[in-house]
Amino acid sequence: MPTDWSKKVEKERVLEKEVAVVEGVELRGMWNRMFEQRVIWDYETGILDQITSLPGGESLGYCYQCGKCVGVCPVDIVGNYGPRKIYRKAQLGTDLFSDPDLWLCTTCMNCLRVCPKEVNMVEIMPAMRAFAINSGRPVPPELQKAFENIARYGNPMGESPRRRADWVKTAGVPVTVLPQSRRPVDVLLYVGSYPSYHPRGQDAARAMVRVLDRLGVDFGILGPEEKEDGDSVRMAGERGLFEMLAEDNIRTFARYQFERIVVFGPHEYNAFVRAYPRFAAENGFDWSYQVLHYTQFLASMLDRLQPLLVRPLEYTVTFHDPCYLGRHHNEYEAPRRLLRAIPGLKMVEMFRCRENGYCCGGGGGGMWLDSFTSGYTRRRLSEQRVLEAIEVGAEVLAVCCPYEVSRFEDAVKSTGNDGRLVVRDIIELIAESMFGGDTK
Amino acid sequence: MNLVVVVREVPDIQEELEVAADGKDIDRTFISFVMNEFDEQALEEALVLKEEGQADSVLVAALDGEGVDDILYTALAKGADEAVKVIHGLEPPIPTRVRAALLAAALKSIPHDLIFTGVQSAEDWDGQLAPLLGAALDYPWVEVVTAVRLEDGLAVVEKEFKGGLRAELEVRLPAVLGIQAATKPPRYAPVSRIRQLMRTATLKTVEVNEMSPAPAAKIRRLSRPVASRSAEFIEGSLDEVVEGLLSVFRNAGVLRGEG
Amino acid sequence: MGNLVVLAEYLRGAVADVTFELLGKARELGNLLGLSVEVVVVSDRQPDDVTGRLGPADRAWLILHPDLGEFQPEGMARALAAFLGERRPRLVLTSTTAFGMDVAAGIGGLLGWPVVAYCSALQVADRTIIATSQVYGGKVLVEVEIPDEPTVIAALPGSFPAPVGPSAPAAVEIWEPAGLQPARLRLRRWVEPEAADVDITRAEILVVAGRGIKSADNLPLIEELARALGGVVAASRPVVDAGWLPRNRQVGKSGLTVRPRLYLGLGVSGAPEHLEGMKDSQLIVAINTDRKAPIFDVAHYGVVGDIFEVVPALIERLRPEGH
Ligand SMILES: Cc1cc2nc3c(=O)[nH]c(=O)nc-3n(C[C@H](O)[C@H](O)[C@H](O)COP(=O)(O)OP(=O)(O)OC[C@H]3O[C@@H](n4cnc5c(N)ncnc54)[C@H](O)[C@@H]3O)c2cc1C
Ligand code: SF4
Ligand code: SF4
Repeated sequence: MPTDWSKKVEKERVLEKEVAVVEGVELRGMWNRMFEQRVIWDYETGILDQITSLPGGESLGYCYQCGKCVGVCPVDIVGNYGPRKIYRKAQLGTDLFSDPDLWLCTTCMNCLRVCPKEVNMVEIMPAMRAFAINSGRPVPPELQKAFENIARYGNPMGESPRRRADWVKTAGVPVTVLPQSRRPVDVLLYVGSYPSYHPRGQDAARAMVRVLDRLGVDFGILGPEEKEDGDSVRMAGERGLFEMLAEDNIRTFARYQFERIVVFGPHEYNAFVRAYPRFAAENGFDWSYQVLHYTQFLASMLDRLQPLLVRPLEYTVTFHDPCYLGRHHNEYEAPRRLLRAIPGLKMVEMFRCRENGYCCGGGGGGMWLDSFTSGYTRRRLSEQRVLEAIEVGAEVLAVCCPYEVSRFEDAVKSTGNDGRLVVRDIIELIAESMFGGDTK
Repeated sequence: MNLVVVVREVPDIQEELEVAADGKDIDRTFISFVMNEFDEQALEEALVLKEEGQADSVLVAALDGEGVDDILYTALAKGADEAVKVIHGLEPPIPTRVRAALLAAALKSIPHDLIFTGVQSAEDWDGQLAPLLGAALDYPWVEVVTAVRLEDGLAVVEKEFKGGLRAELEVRLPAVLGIQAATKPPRYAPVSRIRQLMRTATLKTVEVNEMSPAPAAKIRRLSRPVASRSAEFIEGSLDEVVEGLLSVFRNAGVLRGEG
Repeated sequence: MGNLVVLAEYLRGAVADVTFELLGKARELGNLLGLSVEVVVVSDRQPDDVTGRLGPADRAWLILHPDLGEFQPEGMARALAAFLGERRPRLVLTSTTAFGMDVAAGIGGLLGWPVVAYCSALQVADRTIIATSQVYGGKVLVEVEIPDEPTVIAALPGSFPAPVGPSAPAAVEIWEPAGLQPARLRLRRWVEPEAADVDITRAEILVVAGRGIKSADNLPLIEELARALGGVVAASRPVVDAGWLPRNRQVGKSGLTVRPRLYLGLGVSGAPEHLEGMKDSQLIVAINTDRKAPIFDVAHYGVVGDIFEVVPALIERLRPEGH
């Protein structure tokens, strides 16, 4: 709704007075204007107040409209978005709790990186979404389906939890499934939902266990007892579901003996490094695990890994920094060290990389808002990224987040680049260099 | 205007269903239960009517069974005013006709003007609940309802036929409606609200006595249709392929008005 | 022991196909069991236009009552219950359709007779009638023995072949129910479907266009096939993204979940995101040039071929004779 300016500005206070006397000095005409208090809150503050009063929503109120964030927001690059615009819409009285903008932020954190006022969308968005969901506003149907599937089956696809470890059968190496063997292991490999069920994720999961097996790592998986970590669910605003999952996973972890957790995905990494410890502390659970992303784990044993990478891969490769490994946790090197360790492989960087890496669109619930978001963007974020990879002449787009393989492969097709670019998880490239053959 | 939505649990068919050792039922040991999907539609339609001010209250009722508490709390989280669990002491599977009799008895102590339930369920091979309940209560009933509007002592409903043709019927209250689809998709129940209600809300209970067994056809055995894991390919010349496709369609009963 | 009674699905002046399917099956069972076949129509007037088209029954009945003119499910069930209660047939045959669902369980409830719904097969073994019912979304079949008392069967349409060239019974006998309760239901009007409000989640037959259809120009071909099959066109995401069909036709993870009786995929590869929305369809048939396309992992039947050859040929065969 457009603002009715006449009601907002108290006219007589900004008008010049004919004469004003200030500290005994008589001032005339325009000179006196600066001494009168002028109204600067020309706007309805209701919505903004509502947002800033939510725990986590406070920092939206700090925005002073400098606009730095808009230029780096990946959603704005393919659409019309960014914290400044959100703030502006709130000023103009848009009910953001029922607005499509509520669901477009991927919590990629690029705006926070540049914002002089530390307006933090990574906290604002989950808080606003939680409020919207809990007050019964409609949730986009795709997201609702994902929530319901996760609550019921522990994975967003609605697959049977009993089949969570089925991929192991075709892995070609023995895999310890902890609920069956109940022995202590060094590493708990937390697989995650996409590597467990998505066919392309399973390719990466199989590559992973073959590599770990070759390295002699003593590891186990939770199999049917593993559940979605819940971090993206939390970012998408389903706080209660996150808590339920965290509780279940924490209890499950406690039943087994292992020295550390290695995770496949940056979102799981964020969950176990940031969200679970906080949740555990607040709710009286124990949580003192060492958690590593698999690229960190493998990079830490590069001296043993490197000699096993025998087959040169003569590919031009570019690497997509996952927001939740890079910006959220400052890890830019481990994946690159692994890629550089592969003989023959030529690395090229995309224009947007590292701290300014582009977002695949899957974070913050974006993974389950594909059609919704595409209704408000010119092209999908994943499509934008694929075009960027092609622009720098890459033949392989390397990733290390399980959300991304499916997103980018789909985007390669939908941008008509079938055959020009392939998408590979870093672990697939490592396995390929180690064992030969195309890991796919 | 008090609406009662009768809901029930059904085995989750997303999970593998196994036939029990005696072949007379599915194996109920490891399966999980969910709200019958059509009951979810019925609940949504009732909640919409209440929000629109057409009805005053929505009460959900279910026969006791595995997973029923979760279902009732979820219904409360979605906005139902009250939840009633009907205690009966029978072992599953309960024939639909017995369900109807138990519910009819329980409804004597539950004020109601109009009863909603799902048009069918995953295991009602012995007849759908809405007509059976209507007959048991001597109320009129309508199955396959896709829209409901309330007027003075009347429900005006749309009943859907094949191909989208609909009949607009007016029904005198009280009545039983078997809902096929609500006017909008079922809403989301936030987990935190469900969990909070589990701590704070109480489910009312109504006890009913066992009914004399209803006449029923006897189950000989259950089986799972032989499912081939990968497609059977129809091969040959173009004519053979087309004939092959037509016979597949014909065998599945989806070819209409041929011959 | 009584006869086999088929309840005719008579609506708006037409008898549904399923009635003839039931009559065919009744005929077959009647021959095996030595029972005669009767057909019943409910109406408020002598429907001259149908009496000659009631198919191969030995006797035809018309239940005549001024309240039962337009569609009146509960009243029909009550009138039928009165009629059938006097006669105690061996089987009452109706269908699991919008018509039969009101009536079958209703009669069963009113008369206390057993009901078998979703029936997909009826056989006789040692003079025992055995009905097969499809439950749990078609994942389990229940075989039940029909007891020695009148039983109501509601069959899934398309389960039995319709006899060719329906012959008419000699004459129609009229039965007028006495003391029928005043109607508590009334038909106000029929609402014709609008072309715009296609709901792919409710369609029984979906013809699904994938990127293999190549361009929007080929959509009319797909639509023609859908029409010929009595189905609706749905699509994979690329087809929707391209703007060839609206978003509410999209099957899959970010679209709608469907479970039609027939899913016919044309040039759909079967990506996991697509499969998520259709894998529970009752019958999946796919046509794709690529034998390795993952859609064939979930399809029941597959054709490795070019849709631009197969689809026109299929349409040609589905056309009524002489176009
Ligand atoms: C987060 C996310 C959500 C998604 N949600 C959905 C969703 O809801 N629904 C959905 O469908 N997809 C969805 N996708 C996209 C999905 O990954 C696939 O890209 C998409 O389903 C592919 O559609 P398609 O099968 O039509 O096209 P393609 O994969 O390109 O397949 C075309 C097929 O047509 C065949 N073909 C070509 N020509 C012919 C011919 N003349 N005759 C016969 N066959 C021919 C080819 O062999 C090929 O198999 C999603 C993706 C992501 C990442
Ligand atoms: S977190 Fe990322 S997507 Fe969200 S507003 Fe900031 S830059 Fe845009
Ligand atoms: S960078 Fe920060 S202060 Fe500047 S407009 Fe964006 S949110 Fe506001």
